[in-house]
Amino acid sequence: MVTTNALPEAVIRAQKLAKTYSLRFGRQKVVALEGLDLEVRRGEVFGLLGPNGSGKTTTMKLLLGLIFPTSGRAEVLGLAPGDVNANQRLGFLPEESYFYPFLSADETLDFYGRLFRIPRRERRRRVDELIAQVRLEDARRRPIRGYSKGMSRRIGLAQALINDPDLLILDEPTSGMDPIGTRQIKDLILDLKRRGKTVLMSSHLLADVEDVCDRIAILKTGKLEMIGAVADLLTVKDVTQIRVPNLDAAALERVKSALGDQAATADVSHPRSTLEEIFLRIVAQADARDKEGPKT
Amino acid sequence: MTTEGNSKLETRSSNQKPPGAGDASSSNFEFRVSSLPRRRFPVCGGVIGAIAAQTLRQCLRRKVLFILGLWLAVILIGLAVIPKHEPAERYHALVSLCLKTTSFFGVIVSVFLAASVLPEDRAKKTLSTLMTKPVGRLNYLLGRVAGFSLTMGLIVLVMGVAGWGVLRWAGASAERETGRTDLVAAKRGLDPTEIIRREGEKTKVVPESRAATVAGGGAQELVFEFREGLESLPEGVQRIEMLPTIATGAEMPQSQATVLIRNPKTGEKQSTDLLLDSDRVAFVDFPPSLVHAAEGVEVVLTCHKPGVFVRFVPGSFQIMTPSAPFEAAYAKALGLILLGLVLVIVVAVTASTFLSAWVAAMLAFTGYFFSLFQTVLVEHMQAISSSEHAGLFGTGIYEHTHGPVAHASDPLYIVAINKLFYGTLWLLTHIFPNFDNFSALGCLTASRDVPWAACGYAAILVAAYAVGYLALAQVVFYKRELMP
Repeated sequence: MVTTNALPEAVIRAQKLAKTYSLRFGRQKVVALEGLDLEVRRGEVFGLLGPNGSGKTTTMKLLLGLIFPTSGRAEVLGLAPGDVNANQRLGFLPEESYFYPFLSADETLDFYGRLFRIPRRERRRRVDELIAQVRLEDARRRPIRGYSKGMSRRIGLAQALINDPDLLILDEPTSGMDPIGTRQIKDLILDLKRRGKTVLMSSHLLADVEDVCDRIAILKTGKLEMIGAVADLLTVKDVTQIRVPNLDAAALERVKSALGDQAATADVSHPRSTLEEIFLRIVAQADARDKEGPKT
Repeated sequence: MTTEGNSKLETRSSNQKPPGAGDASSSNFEFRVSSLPRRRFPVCGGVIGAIAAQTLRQCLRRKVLFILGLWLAVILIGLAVIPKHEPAERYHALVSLCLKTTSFFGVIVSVFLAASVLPEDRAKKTLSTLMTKPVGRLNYLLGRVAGFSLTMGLIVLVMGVAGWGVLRWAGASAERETGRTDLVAAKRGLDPTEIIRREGEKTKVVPESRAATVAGGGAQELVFEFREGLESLPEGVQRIEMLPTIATGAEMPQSQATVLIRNPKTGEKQSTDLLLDSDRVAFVDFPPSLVHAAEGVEVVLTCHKPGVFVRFVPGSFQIMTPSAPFEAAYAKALGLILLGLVLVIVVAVTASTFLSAWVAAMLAFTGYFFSLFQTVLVEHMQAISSSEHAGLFGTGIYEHTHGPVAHASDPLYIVAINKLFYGTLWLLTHIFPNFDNFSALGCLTASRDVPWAACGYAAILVAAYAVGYLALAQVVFYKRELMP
């Protein structure tokens, strides 16, 4: 299962990776990915961005060995995609959760744990912990077929973490999640990063990527359009922003006078909170109130 | 964002996250999962075992055991429909019904389960999650085969126990009704060495290929001399069965008869009177003190009723021997059925690696039914290859062997077509194993034990074919993309 082998500096490496699908007995070709050069370094959170049909999922399938490249080559954890030893140290959350519907959450996680040869006691402990983390305690013995999409995503996340992977591949991880689930995913990614794990994620929710990714690549119709560090890409170098507690009118006038000629183009306003922040704060307050309620 | 005062301006540096980004330490919804110990876990059950157990659970949750209800319904119908007037035949018919239905329902379930699993896993994309775990493609196939074999083992076990109960009950009740305890006795053919018809001083030897007929009225007698085949009789042989056919006018085809058992060397003899019914088995006891293998025995039959003709066709005599322990033979027969089902599963799983579920199921069914007739086909092939005028596809063989047909050898194009036909059959008889090897019905209905050698041969056959098929499946599956 988990080994102490040192990870290569480049955990994922793709060279001229290309995939063309043949349809209608080869009479029609669809280019899904074209000459992708990519390197994901150890310990970083890497985001694949792009509109629908840009090749994000195809890239992930290729890296997982679920499909074969038409040309080019790829390496995952220093091994060929799909290699059993690479899969031993890898976790994957697919875009949709594809599980056996007749199994419960408990049984699903136990089954995947067995595939990693985790001993029974360790597996039991791990399953309990993950079920608690994804907040499925009440539904852990119900068949997955009765789960909502969000619950399925949660169990999908839990199965991706069952082996404490060194590399986590997440395909649209926040898709179908409520704001709390979305926040959890982001927290998880940051936590994994702190622990030195590598994460490759795809998303078309730009805010999610911006929040957690170190570097991103943007794909468009199977071609790599841009790659770089998020911070570099987002920093607007010709604008300066100063944030201070609320200023009264006199203080604001003093600042404007200090700016001199530039005061005319200065944007003075109150910073906006995000809906996510407000939602999470309200839910947290309600939770706290519910907890205090019975005592009084 | 927090600041300590107006004088301190906060600058968003490149490595800080914007508001709303996960600040796990301050969040009420933090998500932290502990690490697993950094050690190599020992093998515990293994991947194949995990997939096999999962497959068994999958089968049980999909309610495949409903097939047991269908099977039981067929057995109950059989109990009601099979005639009761001949308890031994009824008993053997029930044995045959139990084994054949176990095999038939087993094949149906095996094929549909095994042929559909891989296409379904691909279509529902469960395979894409499974194969991102440390599961080799061969291990996946082996796990599935093992899981389905476990399922079928369970089904065969339940059918076997229930069938055993039915047979014990049917046997016991028949023995109670008839007062006989030899219903499940083993039998084997016992051909007379010579048959002589005597009428006064006149004697006539009946050719062995012809039926022996004796006229009623007491003037004629038939002498059956048994000099061979007695050597290997086990201890305790007491009884022979005769199957006469009685021709008469409008009267009931019955006749009183006297059977004289005589030792030709010592002249010692014993006489028995019995009633012969047409096409009903009659029993004659061999006194153990009188019958010795080295000396042979004569059976002299005289019919008393005038105007009737009692006929014995070749093969009308059977000798009873002590039966083998039924439970052991029945268990071995079920084991052979299970081996056959494992092979059916392997064939279906292999076919499903490159075909859709329905086509794979049809291919597996076709292979199974084809292999049921392998013995006949192989004989037919041998006849084609050894005949110069076999006719197209060997259709002329029957005509040739059953009458004087004088025509020249087959034209070249018929020979060519026959060779192609022969080659195709040869290929098919090698692709699919002969399923006669997995049937012990003959032994069970004759109350004989199933030889261990037959079981061993069947096991080797299954192992050899399974290795071949799974190697092919692995080659095909290894090159297949797992996402549709």
